[in-house]
Amino acid sequence: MSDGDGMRSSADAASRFLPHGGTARLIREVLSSSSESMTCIARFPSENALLQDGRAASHLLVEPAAQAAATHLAILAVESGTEIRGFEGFLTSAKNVEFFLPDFPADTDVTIHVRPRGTIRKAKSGLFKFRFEAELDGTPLARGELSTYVMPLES
Amino acid sequence: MRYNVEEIERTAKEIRYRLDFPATSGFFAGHFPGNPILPGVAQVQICIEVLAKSLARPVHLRKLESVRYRRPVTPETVCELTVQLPDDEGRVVFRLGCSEGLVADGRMLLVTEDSDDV
Repeated sequence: MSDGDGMRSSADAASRFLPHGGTARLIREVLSSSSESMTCIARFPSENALLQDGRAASHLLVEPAAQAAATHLAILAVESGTEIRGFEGFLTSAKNVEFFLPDFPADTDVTIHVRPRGTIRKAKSGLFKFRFEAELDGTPLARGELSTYVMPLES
Repeated sequence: MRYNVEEIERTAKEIRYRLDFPATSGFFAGHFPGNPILPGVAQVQICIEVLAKSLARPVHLRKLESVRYRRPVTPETVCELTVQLPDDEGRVVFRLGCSEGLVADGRMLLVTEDSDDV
């Protein structure tokens, strides 16, 4: 498990590689990362068009989970020394994703854990499967499996 | 305006809707700058919103059993959404398509509430 300034530098670098902008960028901080998993903080701004009446439906957590997965791939790419200038990618499937509360307030910190299906040592183009869990103050909000297609844009 | 929707047919089993997404839709804001596409979660959100309106009761999602996203939706795309009405377990099957083909399809479990409960 990496942590401290080195990990945060990788996390900051990784956040620059997400193609999302403005209120669509949901990952705020990476708390820990290894080749097996990553934990981060996500937050839905109240201005995000997916929200209604200042609350986010729990099924929207699929979006920060997908962004967390892409961030994890970016961190692994940076840590492996791969020179990339960004990522293109999109969500391709969601499977057996359970939601334990109907919704939660905007602008609150949600903890997202992502774990790749299989060890990823270096991000390459292709389809990546992840399991994710989301929780708010220790209360489970959602968990399930996602697949994303990502393509690093090499420098 | 995030999207325009029109219910075009309702049978005992399913409802069909016509949808379009203006370039100014907030769904495209930041997703992605210079290359706007409709977020996958927005497609599920729209299913739930239009079904809640058609059923005239609140609806929320308990489980996404399976959803596959097959092609992106760009601004000004016109889509057709078919949503099967919930079965006894709350299971709903949906298909979203456009002129180029299938966009997404899936199965999900919903919880519907009586309006009086809210």
